[in-house]
Amino acid sequence: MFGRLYLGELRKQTSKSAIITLVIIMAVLLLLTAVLFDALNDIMEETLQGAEENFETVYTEETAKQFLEYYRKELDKAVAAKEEAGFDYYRNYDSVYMYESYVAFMEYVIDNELYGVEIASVSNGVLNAGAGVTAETFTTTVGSMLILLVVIYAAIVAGGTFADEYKRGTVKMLLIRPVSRNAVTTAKLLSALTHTVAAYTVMFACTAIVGYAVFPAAGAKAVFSFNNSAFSLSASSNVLGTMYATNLVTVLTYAVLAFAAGTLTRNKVFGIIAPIILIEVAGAIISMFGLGRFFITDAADWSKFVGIGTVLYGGSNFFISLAVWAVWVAASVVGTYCSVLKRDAV
Amino acid sequence: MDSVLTVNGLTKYYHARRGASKGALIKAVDGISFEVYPGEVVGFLGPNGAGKTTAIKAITGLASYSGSIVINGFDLAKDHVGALTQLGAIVENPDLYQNKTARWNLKYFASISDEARLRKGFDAATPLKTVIERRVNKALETVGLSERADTAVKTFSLGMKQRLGIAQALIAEPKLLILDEPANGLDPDGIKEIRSLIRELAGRGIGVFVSSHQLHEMQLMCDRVLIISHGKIVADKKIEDLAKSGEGAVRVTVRTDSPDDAARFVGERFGAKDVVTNANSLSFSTSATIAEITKELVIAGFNVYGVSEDEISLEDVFMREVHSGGGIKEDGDVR
Repeated sequence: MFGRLYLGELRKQTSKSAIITLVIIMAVLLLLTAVLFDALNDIMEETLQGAEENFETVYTEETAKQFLEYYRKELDKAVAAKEEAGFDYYRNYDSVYMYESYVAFMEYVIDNELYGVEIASVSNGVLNAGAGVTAETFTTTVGSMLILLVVIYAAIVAGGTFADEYKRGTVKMLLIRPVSRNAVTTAKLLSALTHTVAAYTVMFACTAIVGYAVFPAAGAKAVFSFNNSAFSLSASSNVLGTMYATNLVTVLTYAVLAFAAGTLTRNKVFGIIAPIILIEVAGAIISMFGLGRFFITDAADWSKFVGIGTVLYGGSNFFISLAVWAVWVAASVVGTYCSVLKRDAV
Repeated sequence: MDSVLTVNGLTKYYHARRGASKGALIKAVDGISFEVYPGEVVGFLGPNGAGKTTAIKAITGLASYSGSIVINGFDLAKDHVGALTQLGAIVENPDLYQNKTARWNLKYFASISDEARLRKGFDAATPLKTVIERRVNKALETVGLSERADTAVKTFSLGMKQRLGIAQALIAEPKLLILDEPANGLDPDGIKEIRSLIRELAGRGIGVFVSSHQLHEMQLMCDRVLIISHGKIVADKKIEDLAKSGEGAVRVTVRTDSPDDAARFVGERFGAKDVVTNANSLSFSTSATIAEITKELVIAGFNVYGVSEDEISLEDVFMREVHSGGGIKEDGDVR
């Protein structure tokens, strides 16, 4: 029974016009960014000829220790600035966390004597492979931009799934069937998440295909880390996996938020714009009050914990973000279930 | 015989959304009780705002309520899903998925209906897909939409949507069918078709609970009518008893050349009420039979040219019951 309910929702939520629009916009953006990055690559190659050493991705024992020394000093300054700023520190980005990550990175390089080998680094989930655009740089950079498209698609599907039924009156036809309202809510939520995963996967795969078709693979190994720990050296292409996984969390989170907003207000437009307002406006406003780390826009972006140089709201780290994320998602889901279960359908 | 629907003390409050009493708690349905039996067509009548649709929303499990609603033995509050397996309904409008075809809609509703009920009358070995296909075809045939089955619902006329609405209500062989204004938007032919369809369904033992404004139609369609006014049931009558006004009284018209004298006579002799006299006739309400009245008048020396029992239409009853309470108000009482 639940399977049939879920399949029905999948079909109902499939909107040909939304999919066609999404695919066209995605194709245009991929084409434009590929052309742009390619042109950028040419310009960089011309201007950087003979200046390759400025983009140090090969450390010697000496340079590594110099970097470590420098980052430790910067970290000390940041810690002092934090103490001085008091609560104001939380209004800004967390330079302490950022320098901690650089220090940890250089310590990893020194401890493992990664000297004389070309190593790329990952920052905010994006691969930095020295000068020039690589397939992985393109895929992770453009991929993280295009997730906005997927967020909008997810918001349309998830935000409208109940709201449309309320608006068109079909919710009555649906809720007089012998199925529990919780089952209907679950089917709708899972179906919207399925649509989101599918849209995101297609987008990511297309970006990777364009990336590898137009640009060379990075080749060098890269240092990965998570939340300033768990450092490891592995193939640069692994960045695609970490990017895919962390951004998937982000788009699914926005799908859940849109589902809750659209269902609680029974208004599709609100369901669609609420998550986008959260991204663009509310996060910025709340961070001014020093509470950015408790806001879902920050907490839902896990890609920033992959790699070094992470930019976070003051006082945050992965575990705080995870807790904040869990609270927001749980509140949205529980609120939605209660609303569907307890409120009159009409 | 066990009822397919037992409603006991059904009460529903809601908050007024607009108007002067915005935010006030309004009693839309005020402790109504009634039963519907298998094979019976029960009409649910009332002016706009009397609480018809509110009551139907509660009975179909769409809105919360106090009191008790039992559908074919399943208490809606205790076994929501079980009660809904017994039910097919149209609430307000037949709102279907407009961009999908009629067949898609019916297949979808069948697929999320109770499997045991869908399989009734089918071999256990028949795949569910086949069962659903056959049920959909049968339902389309029943409502005469087979030829338009593969067209999008948005191209349908209101009458076709009504018929498709009935088809979705019938898809899993309900024991109780609830139809909210099924004759809305139908032409006279369409209304006649719906009427014979409803009679046919009742003939199969389905209890039908149908709300409508169309009093004449209700009189032809129903076995019994409930009249709701200001959230309360003010009349519960079998159609065959409509002519009896009050306690077994009928309305009688006598043609005679001395109506004023005859009026005094029937007043004294039979305790006639509401006597109205014209030039050559008088009419009155009485519990006496036509035979008694004729005999006594003739013995008393009146020239009697004709005695007849007036047909009391549902409209008369409706007007009397609804208006006796001091006129129609749009909303229930504001507390």
